[in-house]
Amino acid sequence: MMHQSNLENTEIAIIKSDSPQEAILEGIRKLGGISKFISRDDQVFLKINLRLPHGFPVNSNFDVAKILIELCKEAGAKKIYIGSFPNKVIDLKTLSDMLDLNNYFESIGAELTFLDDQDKFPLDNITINNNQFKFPKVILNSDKIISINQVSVHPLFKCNLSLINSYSMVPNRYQTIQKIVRAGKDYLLLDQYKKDLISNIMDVFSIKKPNLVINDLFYFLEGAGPYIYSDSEINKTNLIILGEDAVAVDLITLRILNLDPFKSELINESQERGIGISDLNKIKIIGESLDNSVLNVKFCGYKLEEINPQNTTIKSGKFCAGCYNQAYHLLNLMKTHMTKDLKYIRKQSFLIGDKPQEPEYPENVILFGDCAINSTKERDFRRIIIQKQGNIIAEAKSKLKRDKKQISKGKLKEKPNKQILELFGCPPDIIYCVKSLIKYYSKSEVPNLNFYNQLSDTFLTQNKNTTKEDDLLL
Amino acid sequence: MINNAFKTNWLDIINFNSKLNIIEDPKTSEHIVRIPLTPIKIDAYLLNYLLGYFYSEFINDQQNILDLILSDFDIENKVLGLYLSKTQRPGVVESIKSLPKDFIIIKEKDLHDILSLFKKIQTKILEKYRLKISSIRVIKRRGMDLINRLCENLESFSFYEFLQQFLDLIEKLIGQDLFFIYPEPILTKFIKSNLKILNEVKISKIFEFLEELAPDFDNTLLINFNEMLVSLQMKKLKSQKSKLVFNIDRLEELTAPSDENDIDKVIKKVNQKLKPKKLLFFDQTSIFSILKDLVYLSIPLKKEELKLFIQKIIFGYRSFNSIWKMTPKPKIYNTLIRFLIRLFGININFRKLSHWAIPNLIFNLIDTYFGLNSNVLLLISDNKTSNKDVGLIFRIENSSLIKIIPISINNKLSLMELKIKISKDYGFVSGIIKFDKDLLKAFLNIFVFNYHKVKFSSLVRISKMIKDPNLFQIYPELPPYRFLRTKSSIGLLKILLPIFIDKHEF
Repeated sequence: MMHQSNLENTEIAIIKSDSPQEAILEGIRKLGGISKFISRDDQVFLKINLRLPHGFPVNSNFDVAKILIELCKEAGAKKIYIGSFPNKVIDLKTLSDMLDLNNYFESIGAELTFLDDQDKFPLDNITINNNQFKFPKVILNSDKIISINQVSVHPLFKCNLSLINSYSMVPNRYQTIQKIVRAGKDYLLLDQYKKDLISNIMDVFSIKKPNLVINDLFYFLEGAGPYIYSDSEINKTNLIILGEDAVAVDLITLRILNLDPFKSELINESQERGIGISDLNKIKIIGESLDNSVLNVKFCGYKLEEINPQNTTIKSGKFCAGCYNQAYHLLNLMKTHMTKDLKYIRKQSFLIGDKPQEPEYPENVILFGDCAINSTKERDFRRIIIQKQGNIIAEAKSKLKRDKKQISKGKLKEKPNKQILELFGCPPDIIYCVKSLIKYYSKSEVPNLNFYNQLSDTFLTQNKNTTKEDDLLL
Repeated sequence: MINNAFKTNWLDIINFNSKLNIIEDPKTSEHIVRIPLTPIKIDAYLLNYLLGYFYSEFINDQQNILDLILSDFDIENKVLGLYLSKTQRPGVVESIKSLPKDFIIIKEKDLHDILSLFKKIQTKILEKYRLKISSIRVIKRRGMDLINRLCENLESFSFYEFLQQFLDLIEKLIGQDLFFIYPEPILTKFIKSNLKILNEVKISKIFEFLEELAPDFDNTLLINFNEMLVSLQMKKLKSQKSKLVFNIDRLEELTAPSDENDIDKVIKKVNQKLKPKKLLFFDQTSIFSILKDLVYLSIPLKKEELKLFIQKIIFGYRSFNSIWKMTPKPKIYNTLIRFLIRLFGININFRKLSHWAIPNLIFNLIDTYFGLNSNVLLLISDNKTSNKDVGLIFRIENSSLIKIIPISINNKLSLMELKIKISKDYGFVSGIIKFDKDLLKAFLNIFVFNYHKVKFSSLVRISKMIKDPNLFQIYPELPPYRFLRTKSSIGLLKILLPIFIDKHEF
């Protein structure tokens, strides 16, 4: 099943236009027309980003999907499927109902694949590099795959590349990275989580590679992403990058975003595995020139401290990419959906990673992840010293007599600090974190977060069972 | 060239302005004029004050203006008339002089480089009349005809008709470049950019729609304009032929309140004198400040600026008894009533409306569930009649409203069919928000026009109405709407009020 690249050279189109639809048409025309990619009677699968019942650009631009569906129909495609596995907290039926996607795609001639409905869309067992995956048969059986990837900032990989988009072709439980500590290797120091994640992404990508890859950065989500947070902003770049080879398309995308593609672990891994074209000399650019298209965008900060939610001090120890990713989302969520709550909470410390620094205040200490919890068991902030009240009547009498010697000061007593919230998990789950925060502070203290939670419950409640076994998607 | 009634009134205003310095106590003068282009009669001294303020804040804060009337068709020399207005204070014309038509020759191509033309005119006037003009107001003949047409019929119009005609005139003059000022003032920039966003939506239609939503009201606004007490009486009574009534009077016999304690006494006196059904008191600073903030908003509206503006509006709304006052006092501020409601676990204190948290919540909801870029279809239905629904597509880009597109709605289509149809024609629609006029009417009635009657049951009534799909609906069922639908009215208030109202009483 694993394909080695047999492409000698590849053409990548960089298209600048007034609308994303025009850019797609122009790009495909420049690459040789849709008939170069889609043949008569082909079964086509459009792999889009479908994460949550949120607005653009959390999911792909559906107008771009529409134009591609029209092109596929024009080329004589027999059947057009469209879909993706969404974020683990929601099932596709709910997501489709909340965005009214099924009716929309049906009206334009495509079928939304409810990939999580395994009666309708069964999965096939695939083994790659000794890793077992379940992969939708509908994708395996499709003659052509088109990847429409909405490019936005990404906490782990700087930006959301098409290689990452391919990852959600497998169910969420196969995207989860299990903590496997190898003998003699420091899990945190080597960031084994990220290594395993990259290896998994490449495994999934190599199961079935797309025939046409579109990196849509016409409206690039910058600042914070790929979900919408208070720091998220749209940068209208008017650019779309497309080509046959996903690695080459991603490489050019990184260049356009002013990043060194050879510092990208995903590109390096694909190079090592010999997947795709990562040699710039073998890539022919058509359309706009690469140098003239370079953009300056605002990526997510390297450090969690840069997120800076109100009244929150962040103390980091050594942590892996898994915890970083989840903490990044939780802190951004706090900053966006707890504005009022954080103003009233006043002091909150967020400790993450192995052996984090001591919190500034003993109140409201949030220990994020198993590493932070286990490595701080004996720390000072775990206990507080209180003064035990003496004999009140005797004290009052002494005060009346102004007898300073007689005033008993009360004994000092050490007590466990109860103002600590431990968020278990490796890494912890966001929904569990939100619910734990509400429980810790109480609903009346965090009305903003409570409201956010109530809104999330409208789509979470239906799949409570799946949330425990799966981990949060990228 | 210009309508006689307009001319006579304008000269009367100029005459008053020119004599202002020699009148011993101008405040006592009882000279009445009309606000130019309107049928509204006003005290000349008050108009002088208002013109001076508004002109310098929103149009030009420098002196002396040249008005140019230009032909729409002539090629060799477009000039039909030149009027030089001398102003001591910006906007307050004290003398006007007609200049010969051939004083300056303007050709079509000159209008393409307005900066050079302005400099040329400025230099020429300075040489000849020793007067430096700070701006030119250019009006084309077609614009002049439109103004004349309005002025001719002013007497026969009701106030409602006048407002419709006036708004149409402004839209045509500015939208079609029949009138412009150079250097371009912030006010025309604001109107122009709004017209661009409104696209084909006529301002007069918006006014008509709002007027229809407003219940009957009889409100008097008492404004303290720089130690002048001015009453603005606004009425809408269905029984009356002319739907709207608007009067502006300077209360000469009453002295403006000098301090906070004085305000209540003045309000009492005005209540005794005018016997209004509802009286609201404002100071000019708050009104001018909000107007200034509005006009200086950048268009398309940037999220952060709009947030700040809404914060100010909510702050103003919550500042009852400090920034504004009202008689009769709204019942909802009664401490005993608030205490009794609080026993049920509901805290309603409009003085503690969270002016900073409310806009945050609203914008977060829009951004998250409709998206940073979106097409949102707003449908306004009228269940009581079989009228077609009003449909407006709000095109949002990076959280900024960039265009409003009016569309024709086929009432026979379901919301699902409508969404598919509109998505095909205008791009993917993130959501349809459907309001019925009854809901909007109830909302305006409770929170704007009859605020003094607002009580806890009014809030419950509104939340019940929002839950009724005949009156309010969001399609598809996005999480906020699903949440709204599944909660009881009281449950909804219990969750939302802690966000809307700050918890500290001090």
